[in-house]
Amino acid sequence: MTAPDDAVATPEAGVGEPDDAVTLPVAARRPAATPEAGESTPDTGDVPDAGDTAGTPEAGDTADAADAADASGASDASGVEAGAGEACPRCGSSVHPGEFFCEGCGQPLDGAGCVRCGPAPVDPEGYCELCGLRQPSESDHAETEAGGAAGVSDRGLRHSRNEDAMALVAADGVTIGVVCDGVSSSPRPETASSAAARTGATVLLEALRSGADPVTATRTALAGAATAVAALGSSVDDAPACTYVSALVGTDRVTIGWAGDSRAYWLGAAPTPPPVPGTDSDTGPMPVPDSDSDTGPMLSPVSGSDPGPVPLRGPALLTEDDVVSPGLLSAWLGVDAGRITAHVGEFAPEGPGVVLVCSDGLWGYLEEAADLAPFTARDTPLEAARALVRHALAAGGRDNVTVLVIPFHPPPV
Amino acid sequence: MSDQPLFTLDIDQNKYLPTGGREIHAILTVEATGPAERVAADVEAAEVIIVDASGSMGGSKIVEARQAAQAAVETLRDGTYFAVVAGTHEATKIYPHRAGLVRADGRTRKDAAQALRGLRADGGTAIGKWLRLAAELLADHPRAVRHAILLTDGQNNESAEVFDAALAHCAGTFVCDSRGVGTDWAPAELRKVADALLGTSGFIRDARDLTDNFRMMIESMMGKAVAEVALRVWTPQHGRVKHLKQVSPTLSDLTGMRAAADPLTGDYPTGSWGAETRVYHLCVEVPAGAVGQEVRGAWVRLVRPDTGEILARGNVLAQWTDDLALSTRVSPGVAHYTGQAELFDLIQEGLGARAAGDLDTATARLGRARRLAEESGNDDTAKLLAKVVEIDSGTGTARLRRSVDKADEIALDTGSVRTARMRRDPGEPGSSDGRSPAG
Repeated sequence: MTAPDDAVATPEAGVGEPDDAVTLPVAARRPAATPEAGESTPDTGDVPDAGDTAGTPEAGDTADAADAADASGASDASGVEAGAGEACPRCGSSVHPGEFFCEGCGQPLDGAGCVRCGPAPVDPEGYCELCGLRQPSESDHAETEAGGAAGVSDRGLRHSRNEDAMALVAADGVTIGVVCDGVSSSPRPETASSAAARTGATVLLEALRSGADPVTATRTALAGAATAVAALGSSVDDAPACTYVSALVGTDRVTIGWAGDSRAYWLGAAPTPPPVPGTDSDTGPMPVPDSDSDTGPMLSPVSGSDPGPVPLRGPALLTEDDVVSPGLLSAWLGVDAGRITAHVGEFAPEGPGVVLVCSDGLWGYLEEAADLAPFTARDTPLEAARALVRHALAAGGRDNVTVLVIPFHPPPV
Repeated sequence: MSDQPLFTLDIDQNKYLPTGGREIHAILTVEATGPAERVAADVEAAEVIIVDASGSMGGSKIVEARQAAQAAVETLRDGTYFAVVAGTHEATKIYPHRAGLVRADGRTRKDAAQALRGLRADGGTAIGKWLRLAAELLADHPRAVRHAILLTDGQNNESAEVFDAALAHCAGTFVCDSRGVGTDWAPAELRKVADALLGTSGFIRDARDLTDNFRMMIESMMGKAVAEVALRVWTPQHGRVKHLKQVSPTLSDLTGMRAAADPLTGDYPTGSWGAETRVYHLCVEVPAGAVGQEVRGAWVRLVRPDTGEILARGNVLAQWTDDLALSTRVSPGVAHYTGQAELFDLIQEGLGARAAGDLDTATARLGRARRLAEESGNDDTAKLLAKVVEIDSGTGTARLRRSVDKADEIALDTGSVRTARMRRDPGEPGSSDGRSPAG
């Protein structure tokens, strides 16, 4: 076991530790390189500055929110510099012996060539030079953990690449998770989702650190992500686009922001109380204390009056899809998106549970909060996320599927 | 030369194939922009002007042809190498009097005009011989933008074998724009010249228009900044290029011009380029893949054969899906240019049937062609068709016009290679209120 791998925090290690663990995409490593929980615990515990990329000396010295937010599948804060001095044959990035995808260019290592025809070389764009097959890439299946939370993103069975992206950050006692789903009818959608997830998580943490309240920070992050995605397009005819949902899980409340049809759910661990007469079922969408503020890329967030968090008990959907009709989005991030209405909701769980953030690749198969809850009731967050992804794949895997599972622990009374 | 036009390659396709699907269609739009005109002034150019001097050119036609050739010579930029050839059953260089080409300047232009005044109409027509002489003259200037103008008024007297051999001999050595004047020449013959030598063919209905037309051809040639550009197409193992056609501004099939670059890659010549846009329709066949797999079905590069420089590149992809909504969608570009190619076929079949006396087939084909031309926005071709076939506004029935001017028929035959550029549909994605599903 080598030093950089120790940086991967297991869920067990993260819970109750100083919540500093921003982690590496597990899929970029051979399974054999996955560390044992016991090995990672001391390292993560020793890192004093919350928000560091755990255990990587170089990153630790310079860690800021930007580094911390690079926990998605396309991480570049993963300490490849600490490797044994090998270099990627395509892009020259240094490569750690335990990796089978280059973290610089994302292409398979080992000079293994094409996954279909064997020794044939693969060109820098990822196509086999003999049979033309697009090679599987690092983002096809990515896993991430931070603090006690975990996320899994998978290409699915019917798409040739993963256009979803996720970011997971645990720092300063809060956990931030962002899921973005590239709009497949837009050009280069994977660049949009990747930029949005990374930027969203980074900006959210920065805003909190500069003193913003959770709702304002969530809006600021969505605006920042929208700006980043808009910058990828040259015109409305060349506009990479994606959805966005962020979850900020603190010690007393959960703050959700979104545009599009990626979702967040509350899956309370406590048994669902009997419905109170005169109120809606717990499993329906929550009333959204919505902001009507426009957070188009050019706009700064508008601070409105805070209606106070909505109480949460049993399993519930926390977001409302921005759709015109099934499958047709009414809101997205992209230079062609016009004015974006940022939805922000603030919730106060009345007991422990998890916040589940996901793309439609999951909820397309498993929509009801009550049906999702059993997956997270017993397993660790990583196992729960894996089980949910497996469920979506077993059900057909028609779309990319991304799941973040973020535990909520109320403060001790 | 570091300064050259900027080439862009845009690829329009639907990459989704149904399970078992093997054929991929893509529209490649190649645009050259930037300092083409300024650059062209520094580019070596070589021009041969071929004027039909057969017996049928007698009278006013030879007078107009002399003036047109003279105007062409006057339009040449100083320093351009040029010669004037008189075409009969032989090919005779009438200027310069010494070997090879001569540089254009005030004196040589005047001498060329003097030589043209002596041009007499007498003898037969041997277009293959004329082109062979042009190739020989231009061979001394391998790095130049090499071009010929060919004017004829009659059918070629050479056998098809002799003519084809001459075209094959000349292919790739220069670009030739040819024009027919009068109504006794064969549009199909000049179309062969245009296809083989990557130029245009056209009809000069009124000999008085020759001068303007020649001047425009030279101006266009003087704007060429890159002598030769090739489309380099890689296809995967067990795949192949089914066809590669230029579809705009005119139709021209490049499929047979492939020169193998390596076992998986072929180069297709496109001739010389100024600031202009051309569109190609590429069809490739690949082995069927599994649902969810994506392959690069073709890797298209635009290359300068003289320097090996890659000017632009792009991928034609194939991805298999069991979602019929995805795989049955036809890209707007493919649909449009497939329609334009069909329009050409309908006109050629219709004119052929009409010439053979099969009026039912002629009526059906030309009637359909006229509707297709109108629907696809090809107004020029629609106007040419209207001279040959009329459509009853009440019943919509097509009827051949009883008496058709021979010149109208030739104009339609010649003009059928011209396609309409695709109109951008305002209802295209990007302007709609919603976006289709993510992921």
